[in-house]
Amino acid sequence: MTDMEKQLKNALRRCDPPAGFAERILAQVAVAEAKPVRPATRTPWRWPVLRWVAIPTLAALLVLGFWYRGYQQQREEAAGRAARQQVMLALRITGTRLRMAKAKVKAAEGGAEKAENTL
Amino acid sequence: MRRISIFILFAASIVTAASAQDIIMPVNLDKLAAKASETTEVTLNGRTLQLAAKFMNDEDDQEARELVKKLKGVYVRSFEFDRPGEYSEADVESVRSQLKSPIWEKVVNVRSKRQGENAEIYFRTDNSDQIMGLVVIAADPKELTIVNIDGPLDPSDLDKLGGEFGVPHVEAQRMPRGAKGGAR
Repeated sequence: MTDMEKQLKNALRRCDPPAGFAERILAQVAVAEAKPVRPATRTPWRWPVLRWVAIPTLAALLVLGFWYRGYQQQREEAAGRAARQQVMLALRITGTRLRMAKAKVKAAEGGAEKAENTL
Repeated sequence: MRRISIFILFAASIVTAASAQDIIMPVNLDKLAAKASETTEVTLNGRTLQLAAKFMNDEDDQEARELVKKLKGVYVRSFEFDRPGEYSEADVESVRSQLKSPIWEKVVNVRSKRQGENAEIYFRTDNSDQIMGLVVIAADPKELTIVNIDGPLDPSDLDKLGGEFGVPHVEAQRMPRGAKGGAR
């Protein structure tokens, strides 16, 4: 028998439990049995029907969300382009009117100068 | 009690000043659209102008975009009539009466009795003489145009406005008789 085997035999030798060991174990078992057993929680997710409904619904919502975002962007772009056109139209009308007013002022000034020169 | 009356007076003065600055296109101008052979109506508030500025990305739009970004509103009413005398002086006066001194200053007033062509340009300036608004009233026998630009304008902006900002001479979107529209 080797030294190692001797050590193992010594370590695994049969020995009596300490005094009161069995009572303590039985007391712990009694306490554990006395505790009320919590029933397994039944979350709605455990219902298969709901799972089959929820997954496609979520997927549909996701698709709808992306579509709506794209639609909103398209709408904004269309509104922006229309607004740009309106701005350009407004600026063109304003420019035309300002130039006409300027021309009239110049014409009036020219007329006054002409009248002064003839006097 | 005195404090309350001072507060009321202060509030009233603010309301009066604000209402004096905002030009309201009178209802009777809209009625003119029914008589006009061609009507151009543009109503662009600050939000719409900002939106428009986002889409002014062409090289030719640069100057216009810089101006538009600053503005709070652009309002145009232009009516073309088949015959002279379709609009009355009262129609013009309804706008003109809102352009009171000292808030508004008439900088150009050209009246031609012979041709019946009148042009008026009004500026609204702030305390630092910055132009904060522009109104143009151009009245010909067969045409009436009112332009109201609300927002800060530099003298250079006015030059550019006169130069049309490089806006090409495309056919304006004009509405037929009775039709109304424009960006709102």
